[in-house]
Amino acid sequence: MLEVTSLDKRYGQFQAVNDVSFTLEPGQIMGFIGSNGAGKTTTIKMLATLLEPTSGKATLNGRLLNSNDLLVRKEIGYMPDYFGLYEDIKVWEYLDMFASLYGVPGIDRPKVIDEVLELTDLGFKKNEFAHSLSRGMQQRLCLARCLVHNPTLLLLDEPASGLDPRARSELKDLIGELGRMGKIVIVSSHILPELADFSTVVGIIERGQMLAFGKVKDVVRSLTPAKKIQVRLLEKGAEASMWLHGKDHVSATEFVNPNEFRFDFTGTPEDQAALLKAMVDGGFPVVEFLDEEADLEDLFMKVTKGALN
Amino acid sequence: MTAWLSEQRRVYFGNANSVKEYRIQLRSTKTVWYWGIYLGILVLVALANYGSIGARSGGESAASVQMALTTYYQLVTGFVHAAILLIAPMMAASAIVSEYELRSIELVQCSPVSTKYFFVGKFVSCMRQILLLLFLALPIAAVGVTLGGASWPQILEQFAYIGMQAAIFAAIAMPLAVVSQSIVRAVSAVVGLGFAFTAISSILVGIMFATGGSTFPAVTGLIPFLSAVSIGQVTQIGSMAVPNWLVALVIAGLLVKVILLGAGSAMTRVGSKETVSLRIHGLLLTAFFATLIGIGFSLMPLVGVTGSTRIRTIYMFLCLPMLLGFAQILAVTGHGRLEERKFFADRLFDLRDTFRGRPSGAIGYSILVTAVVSCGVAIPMIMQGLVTVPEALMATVWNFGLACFTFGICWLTSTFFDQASPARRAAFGFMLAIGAICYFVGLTIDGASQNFESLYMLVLNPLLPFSNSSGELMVKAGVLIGGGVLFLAMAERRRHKNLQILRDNGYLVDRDEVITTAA
Repeated sequence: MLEVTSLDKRYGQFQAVNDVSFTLEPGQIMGFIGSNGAGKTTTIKMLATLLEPTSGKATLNGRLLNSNDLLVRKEIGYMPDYFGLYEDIKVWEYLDMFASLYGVPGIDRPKVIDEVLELTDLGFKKNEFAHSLSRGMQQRLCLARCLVHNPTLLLLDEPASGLDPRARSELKDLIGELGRMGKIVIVSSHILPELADFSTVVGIIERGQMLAFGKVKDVVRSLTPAKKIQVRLLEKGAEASMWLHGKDHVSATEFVNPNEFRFDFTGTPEDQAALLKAMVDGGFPVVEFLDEEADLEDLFMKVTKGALN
Repeated sequence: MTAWLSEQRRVYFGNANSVKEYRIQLRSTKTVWYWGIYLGILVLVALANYGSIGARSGGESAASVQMALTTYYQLVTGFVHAAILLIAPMMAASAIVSEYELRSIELVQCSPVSTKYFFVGKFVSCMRQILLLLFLALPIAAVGVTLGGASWPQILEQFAYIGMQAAIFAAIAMPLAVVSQSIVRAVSAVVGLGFAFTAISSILVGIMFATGGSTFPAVTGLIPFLSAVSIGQVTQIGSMAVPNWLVALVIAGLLVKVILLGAGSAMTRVGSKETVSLRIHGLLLTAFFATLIGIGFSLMPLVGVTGSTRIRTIYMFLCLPMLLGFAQILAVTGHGRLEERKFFADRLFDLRDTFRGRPSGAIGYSILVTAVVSCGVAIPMIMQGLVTVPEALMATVWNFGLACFTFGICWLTSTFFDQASPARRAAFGFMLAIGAICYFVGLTIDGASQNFESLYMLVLNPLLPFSNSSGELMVKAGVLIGGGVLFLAMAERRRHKNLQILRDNGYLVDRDEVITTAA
């Protein structure tokens, strides 16, 4: 289990990360969302033991994550937002080097390398030079590097940046698979819809502060108490809107077109069913009456002000 | 113990960094080119010289022919020497800087290995290449044996010294590469340092020759282009005659170890265990060298030099490195590269920081270094009955005075700069100038006129440990300590003023002395 408690990072007067706390269980994938300079990379680097927190702490299965404890690093796989590949080195040699750095015994290394290459679908490129790989393949190679020592915690900083849609989709599947393998995964990204697909929990950070954290649905529910309902009618759109005005739990009507509009609704599902029945009974030809679930993007736009540090 | 052994085996024999570098080096086309150029020029130098020997007219004396053959050997080894001393720091610096350029350094830093592992890996791979280059040059140099200009032991010992010097140069390039993150700057600095060291050492060796010396200490084997004088010589340790190359190997090994610890310290944060380790090892090594020098000078037959002058002369030698920077650089440094933005010392003295690398630990560490140096030199000389305890004590007090004086100057210099690097450079340059003036003036006066009355001598007098009486030496020490305290007081005023200006401008000055952004 990863427990982050009141993590703080300050550079002189500049507060990069401010009192960030959260807990992740094995198998959970956290989508870490924030605008540029919000504090995502700094938080990830502190968890990767590359930066020392000014205050606060992070523990992984009860063990403090800090740079003086070399052994705890064996539990962490860190993938930064760049590749860091060497020139003139083959794919297997690159993985062999990191396996050796992480203390994987020499006798086990060939097997481990084959396994991670298979997992990342790079087996056929084993003897190629790392620099000759496509961007997507290099990204997968970096992920394979993070996996050679079978870490408990994976920190992936912007893993999907610069990838084409196919590569992104493959990466998404791979991260999902890692979660199913019981690893704790933290993925920072700007591409919000993709995070929503595989994240079990989400953390939204801005100006170094964690504005929201929890399961995607819980966060959506807690941050958007009024759900949006979209109504489409055959006719009488304006009249229906007038009719709704003043009804219980209904507010903020907004037209999409003359016979289609949305409104905010704060009632229970029973209230919602009763409202639909009343509309139909009132003679309005309702074609659609849909819940519009808020997505991560809505949520992000709602809780952040978009201000950069 | 088993864990320690296993860790050592991993660091020195199964080092992943070393294996990776080895693979890349062998594969790179650049390497083939470099090796080709190196060998090509070496063969050309050898052939040109060989041709000139062949073109000699008959009837020359055997001595003249012998001289020409020796010249062949010297030219070939001279070229190898120059090439290796340039290639070694280049390779070492490039191995470090490329990690920063490719941004792979963070990936290594967050892996479960120490900085020692990282630097040893780089160093071993670099030395493997150097040994290969030396091996390639061996057959060409060995022609000298066939021709009769040199013997096999001579060539092998010379190559061993070149290898040791290359190791030291490569090691020095590593911390410099970490700090500058530029191959050109790191190599220039190493070559500059090597040149300065060779120039000063040449003068010392010249003096030893001039005073009728025929035996040379092992350390001369580590002086670039002068190692030939150490070939075939031995160092007497007790009743045992140890070959100079073996003693030089031990010294080179210790130096490399401390320099690599320095590289580790430069790469890590303030107060890291690497910095603490560097300072402890540095202190032990200083004690070791000081004792070696003390023993060496106790045994050296300095004709016409009396006991009290002898210890003062030795302090002159010892003060030189101190003047050049040891304590003084510590006074203005203390930050690792990570997170370093601007540099201001937060306080003058803190006992707890003595080994942690903060500026406030500089005074404590300087005192320790001075004490270790003084004791290390004085004790063997006292034991040999060459100086009395009071004489040694007085010289030690003067030594503390000099340390205090130079520290004061450097601490004051550091308050004129925003950042560590220019402050360090200014202090270093300043101390180099003072050191050079005192050293050469001191040598001239000691060796010749003994004229203490001239105007420049009146100014420099306290900085030179010569005196006509013990009382005078104590007065000099008092003047130095007084001067040092005055400089420190001025520096403290300036430091407080600087910090106030920063605070007034909205900067936060915290214990970490890291000041980044104005409010």
